[in-house]
Amino acid sequence: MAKKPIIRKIKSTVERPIKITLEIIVKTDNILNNNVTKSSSIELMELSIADQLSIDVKTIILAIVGNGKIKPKDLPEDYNLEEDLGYNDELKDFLHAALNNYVDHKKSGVTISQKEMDDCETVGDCVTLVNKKIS
Amino acid sequence: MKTLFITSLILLITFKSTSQSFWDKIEIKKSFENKIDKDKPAIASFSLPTGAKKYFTINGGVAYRLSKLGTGSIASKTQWDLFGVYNRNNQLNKEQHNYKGGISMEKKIVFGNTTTPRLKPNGTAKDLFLLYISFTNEYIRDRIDSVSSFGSLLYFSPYFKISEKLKIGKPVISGNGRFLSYLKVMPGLEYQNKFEVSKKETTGSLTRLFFSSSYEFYLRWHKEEGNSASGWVNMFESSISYTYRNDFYNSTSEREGYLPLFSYTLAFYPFRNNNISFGATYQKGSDPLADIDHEEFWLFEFKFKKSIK
Repeated sequence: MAKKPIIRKIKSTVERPIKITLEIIVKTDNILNNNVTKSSSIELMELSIADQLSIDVKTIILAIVGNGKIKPKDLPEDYNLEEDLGYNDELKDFLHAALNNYVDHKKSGVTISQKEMDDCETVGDCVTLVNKKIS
Repeated sequence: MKTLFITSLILLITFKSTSQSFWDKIEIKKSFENKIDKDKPAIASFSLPTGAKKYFTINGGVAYRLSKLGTGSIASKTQWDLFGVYNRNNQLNKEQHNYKGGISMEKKIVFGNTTTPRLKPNGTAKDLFLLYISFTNEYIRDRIDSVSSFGSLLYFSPYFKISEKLKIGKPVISGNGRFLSYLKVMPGLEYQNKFEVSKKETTGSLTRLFFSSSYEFYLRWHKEEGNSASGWVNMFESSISYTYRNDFYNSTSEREGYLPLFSYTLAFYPFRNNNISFGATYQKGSDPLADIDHEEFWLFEFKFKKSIK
């Protein structure tokens, strides 16, 4: 019997709709196989949420310093805020306020402490911190 | 006007504790009135003014800092400093002995959408307008001139992008990372009410218009040998600043008028890190808040920065 492809739309659970949510799932008679495709879909959805969070954090990092040369998706995670993006103490305070606002919007009541912000030296550190706060 | 030559050794030691404690909220800086001087460290040194007796210089203060983060349509960070500052023979060819105490409030506001950050059609980040506001209330006691005064200081500093090569307050990086510069502006108002003065005619209040602009330029090199686009640290620093003050309202009998202050700094970072530097600062003009009256001096600095975890 020929396997018939169906298109299923996966809705985002976060407030902001996430694009790239179409998947082609092959229907089979095998229940086990069906479970595997479902869990794969959830993993893909979580991956796209993490990707979106990473893009959001990188967008904020670049917007604070007014960097219009690098696209957020191309910003390397090992870039140092001070050395490579020109952050100083004042600008890091603005970044602290902006990232804290982002985290609070995603998970009300959660804040980023001064100590946690001081430990953010690279783009990747900030992405990891925000990810940890929201999850 | 005499020219002074001052040499100082500056040690910037940062303690990084593993937990939030009382000591994390303590700051030691040159002053707490505005971010121009807040960036400067406390100084304790011997100064050698030309043709005068040797002075021992102490110039710095301690503050207890509290912070609060604001959320909503605009993001903000507010910090309060409860401070005390002591100045003894600071960059002067006359004896100086004063102290200050007060409270300063700094607010850093991020305008624009930070909850759902937006991209431009070309896929780059939309610039965010930032605003720094500083408000200080302080009591100043000058023991040499027997003057007590109360001051209120208000400063603003905007951060925005005009083009990729022209930004106010924000970094301009060029030459694939080799050059870094900042252009900063800060308008403000300074109010001072003098009482308990030795000369009665100087009793009264005055309000000054304040404007400061500075340009910092850094020539940088790689932290490690190589040609990657990342890992840049300072090699040379060249910065110039100009401060304008004018007392548009003055009820005392001594009109100050236009008080300019120029400063130029050149520094060299001999190692591929930002921890050690030596350089010189030339300063000319007046700063009534620091009791500097038409002075001209050179300050030679050796800075050593160390973080202790």
